Amino acid sequence: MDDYKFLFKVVLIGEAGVGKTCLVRRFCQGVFPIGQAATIGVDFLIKNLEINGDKIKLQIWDTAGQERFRTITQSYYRSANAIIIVYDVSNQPSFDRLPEWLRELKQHINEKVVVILVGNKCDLTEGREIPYHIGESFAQRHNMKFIETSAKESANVEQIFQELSTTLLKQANQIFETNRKDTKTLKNDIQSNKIYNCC
Amino acid sequence: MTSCCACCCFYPKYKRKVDNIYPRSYDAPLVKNEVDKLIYYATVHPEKLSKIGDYLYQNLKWGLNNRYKYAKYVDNTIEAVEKILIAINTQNLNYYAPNYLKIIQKLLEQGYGSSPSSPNIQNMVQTSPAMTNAPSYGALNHINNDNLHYQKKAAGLFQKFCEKDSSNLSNNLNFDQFVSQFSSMCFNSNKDENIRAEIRSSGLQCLATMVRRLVPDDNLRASYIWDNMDKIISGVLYIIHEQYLIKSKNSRSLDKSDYDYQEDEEELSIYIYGDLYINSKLNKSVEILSQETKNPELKIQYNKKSKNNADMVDEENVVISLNDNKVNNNNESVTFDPEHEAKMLLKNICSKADYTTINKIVVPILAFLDDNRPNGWELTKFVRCIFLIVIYNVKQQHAFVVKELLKHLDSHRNSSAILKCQIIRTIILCTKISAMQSVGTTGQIIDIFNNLLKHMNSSVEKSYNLKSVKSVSSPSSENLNDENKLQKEIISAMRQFTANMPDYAKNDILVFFARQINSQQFSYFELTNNNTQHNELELLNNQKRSKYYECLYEICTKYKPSQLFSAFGSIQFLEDSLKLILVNDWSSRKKAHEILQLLFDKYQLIEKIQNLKPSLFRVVPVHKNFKNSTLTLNDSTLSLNNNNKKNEAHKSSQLSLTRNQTFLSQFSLNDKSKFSSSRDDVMFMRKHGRTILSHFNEYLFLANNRRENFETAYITLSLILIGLFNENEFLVDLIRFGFHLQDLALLNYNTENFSFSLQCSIHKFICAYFLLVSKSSKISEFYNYVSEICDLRRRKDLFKFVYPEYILLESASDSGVHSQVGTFNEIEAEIKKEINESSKEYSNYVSKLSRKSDNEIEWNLNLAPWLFEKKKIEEILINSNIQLSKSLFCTDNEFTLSVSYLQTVSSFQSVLKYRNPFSNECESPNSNRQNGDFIPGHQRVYSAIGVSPSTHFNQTPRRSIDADSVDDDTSYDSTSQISVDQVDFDTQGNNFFIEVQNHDPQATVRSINILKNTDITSFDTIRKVLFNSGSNINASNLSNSGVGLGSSTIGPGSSIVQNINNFNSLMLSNVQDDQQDEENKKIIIDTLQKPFDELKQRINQQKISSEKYQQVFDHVSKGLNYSNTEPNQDINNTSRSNASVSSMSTNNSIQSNYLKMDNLTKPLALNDIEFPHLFIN
Repeated sequence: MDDYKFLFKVVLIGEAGVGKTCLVRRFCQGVFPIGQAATIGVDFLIKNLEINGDKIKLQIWDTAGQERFRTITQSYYRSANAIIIVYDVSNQPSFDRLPEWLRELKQHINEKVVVILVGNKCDLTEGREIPYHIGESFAQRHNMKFIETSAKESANVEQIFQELSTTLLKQANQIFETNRKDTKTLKNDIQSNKIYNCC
Repeated sequence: MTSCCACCCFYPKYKRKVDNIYPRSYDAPLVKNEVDKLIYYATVHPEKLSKIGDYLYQNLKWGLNNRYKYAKYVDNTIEAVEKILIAINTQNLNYYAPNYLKIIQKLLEQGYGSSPSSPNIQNMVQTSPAMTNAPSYGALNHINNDNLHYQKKAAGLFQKFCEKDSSNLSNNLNFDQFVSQFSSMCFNSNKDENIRAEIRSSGLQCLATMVRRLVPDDNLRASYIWDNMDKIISGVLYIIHEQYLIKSKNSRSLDKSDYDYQEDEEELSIYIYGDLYINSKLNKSVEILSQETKNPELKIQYNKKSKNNADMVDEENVVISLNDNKVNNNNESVTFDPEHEAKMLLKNICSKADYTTINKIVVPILAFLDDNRPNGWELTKFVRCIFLIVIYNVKQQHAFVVKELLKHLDSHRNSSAILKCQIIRTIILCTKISAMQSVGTTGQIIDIFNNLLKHMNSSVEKSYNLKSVKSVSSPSSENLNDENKLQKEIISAMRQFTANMPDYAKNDILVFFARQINSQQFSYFELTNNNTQHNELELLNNQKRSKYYECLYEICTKYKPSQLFSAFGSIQFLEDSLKLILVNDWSSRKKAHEILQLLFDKYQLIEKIQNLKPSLFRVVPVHKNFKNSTLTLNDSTLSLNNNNKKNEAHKSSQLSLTRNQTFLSQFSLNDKSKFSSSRDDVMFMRKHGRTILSHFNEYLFLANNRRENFETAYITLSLILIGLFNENEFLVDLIRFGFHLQDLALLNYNTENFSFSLQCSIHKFICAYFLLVSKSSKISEFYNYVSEICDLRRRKDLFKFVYPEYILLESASDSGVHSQVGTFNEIEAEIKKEINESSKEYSNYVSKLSRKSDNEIEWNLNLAPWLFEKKKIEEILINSNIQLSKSLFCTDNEFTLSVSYLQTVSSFQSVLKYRNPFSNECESPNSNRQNGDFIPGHQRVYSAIGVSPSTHFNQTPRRSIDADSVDDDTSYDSTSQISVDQVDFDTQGNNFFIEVQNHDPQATVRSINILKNTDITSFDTIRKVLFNSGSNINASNLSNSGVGLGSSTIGPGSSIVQNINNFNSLMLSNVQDDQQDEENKKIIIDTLQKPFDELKQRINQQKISSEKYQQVFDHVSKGLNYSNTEPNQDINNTSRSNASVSSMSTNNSIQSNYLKMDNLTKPLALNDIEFPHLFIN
């Protein structure tokens, strides 16, 4: 009777002001919050998805990008299943800091964690500083998936999470299958009680 | 019951029971009756609980999906869920718990964290972008409350759950999720301050209930909490930090001010305990209200800060919300106080921690403080508060906290000094509080000290670099101040540590420290030929050493001298601490004496003695009334202080006889009866008395001694004499020591650099010493004899300069020069003449005196009635039935430091350095040098005993002192050590041979040509030679080998110099070839002459006389106390011109000295010309 088969923890990281919160809001609530204040510490949201018939629940941790919350953020992506690194295509420094983020990540996560690179604010065509191919090549170099989005125009936002979920699901199903093969399922006692207890 | 039978096939009973509890109308409350029925059903059929829970969960889900219509329905469900939980038996909790937790989870997810808006409204905003945000926020707050409302409910449910006895709760339940979610609630940033506080405090309360359930031993079960402790801690800290930010903004000026150690600990502990426990809530609500009414603007500022970097900050809106808050606050401020709750939570966590988990608390705290750069460590009150809470509540684990902090300090090696200061302050705070608790094992403590020393080292290096850069720009000078501050902090940290330590640990620390200081002097970075570089290193090391001495001094202040013998129990420590007084730097030597005074001061005499000391450096206005007001000093003292009044100077000399008496009777005879020395004392002195005296012997003859050095030495010696040496058993030894000094002083009369003034000082010292000894011996004849000689010295003009209270001034004022302050040149010339005459006279005079027989030195006493006569004293002693263990005439070398002492580099260096012609401390330009016939440095040879030109020194190798190892008592490793067994200074020819012989079979004998153009007298050179020889001798080995210098038959410390002198002269004489002759001459000029010439030039440039004029002038006008200027510092620096002047020539400096004395200030240079004013009173 569970309303989901798998629960995945997704953590968004990136420099301050690249639009992490907007991205999550857009995805979970379908809104683009104008005048969003800087996140303090962490914030979390839930999104239920159905992919290939499997119900999954995404628990999305939206972290603060500011320097002073760095350690707090670190403590949260330790238990994550997937990480979304966000940068701002119209902001070169936010892209330049990416290697540092990756280095930090490697200290805290294992290899199984799915990492996706997202270039946000791709609607700002005029102020663009990072061309698509540069971001893509960077992602390839570090074995990440890459996607460019716009939280404002809701472009590609769904796709990030779709992509993420399918990969995670594949992973999880594999583990699930192997586990099922290995373990012998016992009959659920509570289920069997049902017959006797009815009236 | 029958009716139910019909439906039961379709609709289970539990569902019907649950359905019944909901009222017909969705807005009505629960039907109480039916709820009771359901509870009864649940308690009777506990196996149904899981189904009931599941059904309720489904209901809740449905309700939540339609919450805008059925809000009350959801509330009702929650209420029912809660009621069931309270009612059911704890044994059945396992049936119900999974669904219950699911419900909580669901409710938590509704809140959407800090979402400032609910979707539909936000959509509206989006669709009408033209609309301004300001009104929309106001509207949003209301609806948003609903979402947050569920979070609060969830928190309430969770608390209820935790309050239930959970002893047999299954382990499968996953609380992990909750911990992170509740901690993220701490970061709620709702715009409405009230709601924010509410959410935060409910999150904190949940965490608190979780923590409360922690059983200290059961870490396995509670691992979910400890694993996520960093999340909890950072949440807690964030809340507290925010509050402190506001407070610090309110009182910014206060916070910026210097940290006050004397800040009341009590006040803070009351703040933590009293305030928090008793009536904090009341106080705080009042406080908050008053704050708000007073400073609405500040509140706005804060609000702005809280949404830092916000894209749009609508002030108007903030003000509105502020107003709302005010209204709300009146009602509710008492209920929600997240700061208080956070503190309580932190306290609870700490009290649960044990030594495995303590770092899970401390590390996140430290990381948090690091991250909040501008307001982390710098926000002292916050840091203080946090660590007070931690330390007060962590039981028995203080050492671990301190250890973590030290580790952190290490990781901040390259951070700014201010930051380090803060960390060290925190360490001090922690140690202060943990006073009663254990601080850790001795090893740990020594580790701590070692660590702090390292930081001290690096800080001194840094500040030295900053100084040498000499950039006038403000940041560097600020940095310099910071570094100085840091050093002070480190010192006080050490003091704090020692204060808290048990006695045995104090001993260990002292021993460790003394060892460290002596071994630290190896800390050369690199070997360089460059002479200036060498000096720089020397300076740096001097600075380090002085800092170390300060540390040691601080430690000693916390040390009770009654434990003397436990510390001196290890002979090593005695040696180490005595070695401290034999360093190059005169101010360090003074400090070292202060340390010794602390160590030896068994009867707390030091204060008394120091009170006897007239306040020398104070310019005392000459009023007769004032004289009476000074307590310990009689009139004559003051009159000496005010020497510019001629009459009073005369008066002083008239009174001098009584002076002798008063000074000594003041503490010798009166107090002596109190100090019956214990058996331990006697044993100790029997064993080590001569060691101590021989160190004093060495010390007194150091060339750059100043008046203060003699003074402090006298104080130390009198402490030892009164406290420990007061048995007549030692009397003979003491007298012989006095004679030894006298002989040595007379024998060296014509040695260079053993200046006239120094000789005078030593004679004065001897005089005072004999007074002291005779007084304490209680033999009246002896005392009478000594005071006779004192009187003689005072009365006759010729002997004046060896009378303790004699200062040149008196004679000058007698001759009337002083009264006519004509041109300064005149005065200078006058004094120069006088001093030249007197010193010439003196040396002629002394040369007539001496006459030596085989093993004895006798003096022609007819010519020198002012000398103490051995024969006479011996007679006196025999008359008074004192057993003479040895004849007073016997001059063996028991008061000379044995060679093993000179082996240590500290003394080795000092021997070399202060005789080094290049050092700017103690040289006198001499006409001899210009001829190339140059004798480097100060020679102090026991001329009665011959020294063969090339001497072989056989040493037994001493064990290695590893400079790095902390505990080298155990690191005795004789096999791996290369012992420089025999070092041979072959001075025949140009080569400087050092033969290194090894005990090992692989040992090689090497001889090395030293570079010709190096400074041969420098220690570095010798060390380098050893290094180049290919053997892996390290510095410490060198120290042990002693490089074969010194000989037991030669006067203290003179042997090395002797050797080098020989070497030089041989270099001149033994050269055969003309070519080589040329070359050698060149080399000698290069190495020896040039620097000297340069120095001369520089001195000329500085225009001595005019500068001196200026100086004198300054001193007249200001009464300057320039004790701060150190001769070691840079010669070019104009502010330190004093030092350079002092290094120019003896005569000159004596002049200046004289001129200064006129003006009652501390004499400029060569202060050693005067005897301690101590004896004046």
